[in-house]
Amino acid sequence: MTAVDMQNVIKKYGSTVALDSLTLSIPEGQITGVLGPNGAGKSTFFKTLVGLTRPNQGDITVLGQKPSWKVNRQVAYLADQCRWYEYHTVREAVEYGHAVFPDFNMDKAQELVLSLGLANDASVGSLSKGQKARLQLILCLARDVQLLLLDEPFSGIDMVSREKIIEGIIQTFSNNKQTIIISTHEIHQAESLFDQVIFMDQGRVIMAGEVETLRQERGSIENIYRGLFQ
Amino acid sequence: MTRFWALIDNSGKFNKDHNYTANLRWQLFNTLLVLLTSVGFSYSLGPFSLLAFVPVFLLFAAFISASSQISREWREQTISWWLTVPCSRSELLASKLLGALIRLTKIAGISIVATALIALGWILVKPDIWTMPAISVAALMASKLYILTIIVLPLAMALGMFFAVLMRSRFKFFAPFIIAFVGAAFGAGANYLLPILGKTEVDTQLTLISQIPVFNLSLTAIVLRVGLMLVIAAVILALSSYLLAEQTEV
Repeated sequence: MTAVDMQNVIKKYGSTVALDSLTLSIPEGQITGVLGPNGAGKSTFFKTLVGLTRPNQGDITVLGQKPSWKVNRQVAYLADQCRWYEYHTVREAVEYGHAVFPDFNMDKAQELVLSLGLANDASVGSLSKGQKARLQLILCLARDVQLLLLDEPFSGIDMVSREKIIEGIIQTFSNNKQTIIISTHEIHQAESLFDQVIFMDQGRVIMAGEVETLRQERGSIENIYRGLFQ
Repeated sequence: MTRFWALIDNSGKFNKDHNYTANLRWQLFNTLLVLLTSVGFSYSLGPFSLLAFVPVFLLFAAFISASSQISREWREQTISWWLTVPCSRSELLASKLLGALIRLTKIAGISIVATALIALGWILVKPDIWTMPAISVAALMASKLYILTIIVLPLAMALGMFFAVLMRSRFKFFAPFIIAFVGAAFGAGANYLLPILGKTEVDTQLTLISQIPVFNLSLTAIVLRVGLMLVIAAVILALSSYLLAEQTEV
C-alpha cells in the first residue's frame, strides 16, 4: 500500500517551476526522508499533499484520496517556518489542539510536553525558537493519524532540541507505526530515522531507494548527498 | 469545547497577541483621534450628532475587524496551522466572523457608553439648549441610525472578510474593481429589496408622545431586514470560501 502517490505533478509559481513532472510513490508504515538543497521543491511537495497549494498539472493521491480538508483528518502537517499563536500558553496550545484535531491524544501530548522539557504555564511568546519548534512538533506527534508530514522540523534549532525532537519522533513512531515523511538538511542527525530516502533537485526526484540498500551500494546517506549536490 | 467553538474562541483571543498590545502608542493615538473627532462633531453639530458618528465608526470597525481576523493568520505565519484544521473553509471563515463579532460587540459597548458620557457632558454644560424634547428627538433619530447599523453590520463584516481573502487570492490585482462591483451589486440589491419587505417610513416611524420617546417599530420588518442582510452575508461567505479553497495559496 502507498501512503502518497504523485504522477507527473507540475507546479509553477509564475515562471519558476517548483515541481517538474514529479513522480514518486511513498509506502505506508515507513519513515521517508526527503532530501535536497534549498529550492529543490521539498516544501511545495509537502504543501500539495495537504492542499495548501494546487498543482498546475498531474495527479496526487494521499491515503488513497485527493488532497482535501477531509483527508487532513488523517494527516498531521508541520510546515516550514510556521509559528504557533503567541498568546497561548503551552497548556492552552495543547487544549486547542485537542479541541480542533479529532484524533488528538491528550495523554500523549502531556507526556511529550514533559519529555521534551516544556512548562505547561509558559507563554508561547516567551519560548525560545527551539522550544517553539518542540511545541509545534508535539501538536503534530500527539495526533493519532496515519500520515505525519514534517517539513524542516530541525531548522534553526540547537543540538539538544534536535535530539529531543528525534527522540519524540522515534517514541511516536514505535508506538503507532505511522507513515512519516521528513524533509531536513540535518542529514547526519536524522539519517538513523529513515527507512527510505528521496533526493530531490529542481522539482524532480533524482534518486530514491531504501536506506540500507543505498548504504550498501554507495556509503552513508550524507556521502550520497554530498556526491549529488556538491 | 467543540471544534467550532474552539476556533471562535481562538479568533476572539487574537487581540491578546503581545505584539499588538505592545503597540500601545498606536492604540492611544487612535483613541485620541476618536475622542477629538467626537468632541469636534459635538461642538459643531450638537451632542447627539455623536450618536450618528458611532454607527458609522462601527461599520468601519466591522469591516476592519473581520478583515484583520483573516489577514493576521498570514502575517503572524499561523496560516498553515489554521488552514490544515480538518474542517471546511466555510466553517473556518464563519468562526472568524463570529470571533470578529465578539470583538465588535465589545467595541460597540465601549463606544456607546463613551458617546453617552460625552453627550451628557454637553447637556450639563448647555441645559438651556438641550431640553428634554430636544434630547428625545435627537435620541430617537440616533436610535433609527443604530437599528440601521445593526441591519447592515453582517454585510460590512462579510465584505471585510471577503476583501481579506481576495487580497490573498490570485485575483488580488483586480481587488479594487471586484470590491467596487460586489459593493455596488449588493448595495443596489439591498436597496431594491429592502422596501419590498416593508415601507421604511411607516414601519420604523419614531415619534414623541408627551415628550416621551415612542418606538413605533415593526418587529417583523426589522427581523426581515436583518434576515435579508444575513442571507447576503452568507452569499459573500460562500464566495469567500470558494476563493480561500480554490484560488488562494500559502
